[in-house]
Amino acid sequence: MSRALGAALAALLVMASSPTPEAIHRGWATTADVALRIWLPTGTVQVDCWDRDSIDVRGTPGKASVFFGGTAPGGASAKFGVEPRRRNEPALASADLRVLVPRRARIAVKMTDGRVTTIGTTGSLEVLTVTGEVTIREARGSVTVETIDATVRIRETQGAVRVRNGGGVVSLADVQGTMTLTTVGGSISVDGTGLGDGRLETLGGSIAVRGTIRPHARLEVQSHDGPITLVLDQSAVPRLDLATRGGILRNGLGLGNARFGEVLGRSFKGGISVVARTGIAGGKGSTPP
Amino acid sequence: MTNESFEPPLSEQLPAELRVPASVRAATLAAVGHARRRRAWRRVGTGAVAAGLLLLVATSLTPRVKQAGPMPGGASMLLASERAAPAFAALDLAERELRTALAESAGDPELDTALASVRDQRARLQRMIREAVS
Repeated sequence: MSRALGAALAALLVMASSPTPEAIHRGWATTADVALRIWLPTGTVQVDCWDRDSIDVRGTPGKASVFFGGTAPGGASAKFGVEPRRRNEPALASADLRVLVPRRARIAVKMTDGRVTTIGTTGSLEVLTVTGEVTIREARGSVTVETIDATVRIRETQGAVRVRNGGGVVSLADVQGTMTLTTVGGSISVDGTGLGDGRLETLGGSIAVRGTIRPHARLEVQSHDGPITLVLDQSAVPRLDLATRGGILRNGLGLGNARFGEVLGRSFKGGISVVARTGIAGGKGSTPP
Repeated sequence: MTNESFEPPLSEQLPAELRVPASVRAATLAAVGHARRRRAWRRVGTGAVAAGLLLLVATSLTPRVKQAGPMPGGASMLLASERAAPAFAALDLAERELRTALAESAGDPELDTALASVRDQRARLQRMIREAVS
């Protein structure tokens, strides 16, 4: 009985001595196009934009992590993030943050393993992470994502998109601006109507392009041994210049026409397939076979 | 008259042993004890200083045993290295295949471009691992 009581007291003491994370709520006045750096080794960060010249951060730090942050005089630049409570802490500092930033803010997010979501940025956006998940929606400025094997999803963007990935999947939908996508083993998927100039390159992943290309736009698609699939509207087939050294080329849509854009496809030993888009999306109302 | 003693009479002679007053005796004993204790402390102090000097010399002469501790950012770098390993293997394989192909058709611009791209990807991954620390 007394032993159990002692154990309970010891547990209470341990609980009382371990620091409990306090909720974060900080804010700073900044310029409209503040250069903001976010450093979050692990956890989640969601960045939303608002029409105010200030930054608002809310969230919860991890157990062994402390929040830091501040702005330069004048508010032209700001930085915040989390760091380990103790210098020799082996675990990554973590937090779950929700951030509101000026719409024109120039944002750089750096993580090791986590989830980044941004919505509605119009300034430049840069995300660097080793692994995890990156979701970007409604970006009007330039977007740069660099990862080793994170899953990258980008939707409804208008500016230039640049993604460099290792083994992670990259998927883009409704991208109006130029795009440069490179992976080592990760698959690349691009969907949309009126796709602009771009370069899609992978070593061992697959590449799939579905949709139409803007007139005079040029899309370069290259793989080492990954398969390339072009799913195109039969009524708007771009000029196709396709070649594979060791793979099989299947093109059921002919050479196409330059007024619907141009696709240059090359593969070292992967196959290249061109197929017609079917169903309502393909403009025919038929069902896929 | 010549035998007359110059000594005072016995009743006036001092006793053979003087009886020291108790207060003087206590003060003397206290002073002696104090001096003894001071000597003892001095000996302890000297010994401690000597031992300290000896320890200092001994530790400075003995090579320090290094202990592995967690490096700040080490976890990030380790994770990055692990995650990049399959990509490095794929890049190595691709480079070998491209080199073989280039040996057969030297100067092929497409193969040259592909090889440069493989090297660029490898350099990028290496940079990402280095930069994962901070």
